[in-house]
Amino acid sequence: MLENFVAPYDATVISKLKKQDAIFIGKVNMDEFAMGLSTEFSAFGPSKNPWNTDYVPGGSSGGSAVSVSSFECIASLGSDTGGSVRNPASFCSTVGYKPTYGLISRYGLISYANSIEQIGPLTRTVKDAAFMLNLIAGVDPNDNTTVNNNNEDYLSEINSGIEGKKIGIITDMIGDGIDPEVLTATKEAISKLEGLGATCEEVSLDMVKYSVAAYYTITATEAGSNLARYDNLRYGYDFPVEGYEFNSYISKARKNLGPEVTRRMIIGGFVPSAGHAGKYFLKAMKVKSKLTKEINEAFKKFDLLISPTVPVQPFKIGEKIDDPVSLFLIDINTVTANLTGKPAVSIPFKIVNGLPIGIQLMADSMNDKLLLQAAHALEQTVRLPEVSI
Amino acid sequence: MMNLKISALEFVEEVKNGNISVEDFIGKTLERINNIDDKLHAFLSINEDAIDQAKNIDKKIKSGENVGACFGCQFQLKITCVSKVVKLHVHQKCLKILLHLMMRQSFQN
Repeated sequence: MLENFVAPYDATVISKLKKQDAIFIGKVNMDEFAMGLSTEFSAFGPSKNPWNTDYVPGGSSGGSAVSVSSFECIASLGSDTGGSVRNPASFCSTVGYKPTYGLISRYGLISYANSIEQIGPLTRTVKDAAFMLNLIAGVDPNDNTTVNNNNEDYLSEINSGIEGKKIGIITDMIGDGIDPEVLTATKEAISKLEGLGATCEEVSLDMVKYSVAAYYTITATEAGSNLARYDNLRYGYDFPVEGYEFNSYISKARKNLGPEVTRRMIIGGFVPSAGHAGKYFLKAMKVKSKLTKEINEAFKKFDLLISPTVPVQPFKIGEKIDDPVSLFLIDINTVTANLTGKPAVSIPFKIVNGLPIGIQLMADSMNDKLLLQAAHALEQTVRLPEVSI
Repeated sequence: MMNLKISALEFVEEVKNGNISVEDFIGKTLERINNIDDKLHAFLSINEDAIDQAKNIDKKIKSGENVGACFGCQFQLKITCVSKVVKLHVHQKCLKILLHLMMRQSFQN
């Protein structure tokens, strides 16, 4: 839809990095309008996992993760609405960081679900993520949702370690449907953190089991509204108006959107509509607020929460494309951070059967510095092979 | 032999210390993209000004001007972030820049 569109201005994150003499090599692939978690729904064709090109790289920031893990670029920026930075980071063995909601300006980010999405870095090391956060975080007059971080230096004291920290193991994220290899890796990560002086204890977040349904209801609703502008009047393809009346023209224009975008726009039109909103959208909003309450309670007891980033390892290209529900469920461990606005990071932890596994840590809002310190500590306990491509 | 596997902070240190030039690093990065991206399909477009921007930063470093904290470190953008980066076909652009680099080197020799 936006293939030949050249933006007349830079996003705030781009301007900030350009001011610091960063160079942008180019733009990378993703699921269309960031909707998907395998990059198979890209309008330009799928990206491939550099660890095994028969497998998906995750998504929706698949191109970002592929380029960083295969040494095509040092670092990348992605956007994370339900795990779109952390999921491909886990699948490609890079660091993926989703900051506290509001920490990074979304001005210039093409909106998918404004109330929960954030721009985040994909990097080779946790230190690089902290370095990038130092450059792009902070208040932006063009984005009223940004928060003041008092010019926090996320890189200083990154070696502080996690001795004495309390870590909650989210039991609802290591239950049914988890790959045995992923479960083993998670247990190993917990042991490593305990070895560094942290105390780990199980915690249950009851609302997690409803989080994926709530996430897709809320994001589809916001997407339905956000994508209404792609009507071929302001953005879109060049085709003549002759022979169409208004509705048939819009309908023809909309046919150019891919299957996943179409699916979510249809859901987004239905779930908040009169007569159905109470059953779907309002219930989803209740799950969101109950989940936030639960996680806030958990952070009174724990400094950090741990889970695998994704409950499964990368799957083959085409394997799940016809089963959208099973694809949606892969988001179960990542959407909580988005729905609650908490910061979360995926740390490369293990390579099993030639494919990566990432571990996710979460912290309370605005505790991004602590989260990066913990992620750095865990990162230092592992030495992983490099991609061979 | 240029090591493309370094982190962003290592890159900044290497450039600051004069061990590598931004232009050479970008040139080698583009070469790698050109060599392997057919298999991976990560890139959709290449910034045609990247080499010129790298040269400018190298010039600033040599002349002792203030240089931003990134020192020419390279990033990629997910295409949901709007920017004025011009859309161009990846390989066509990489080849064009590589050709330019080769010509520059042969003139120096």
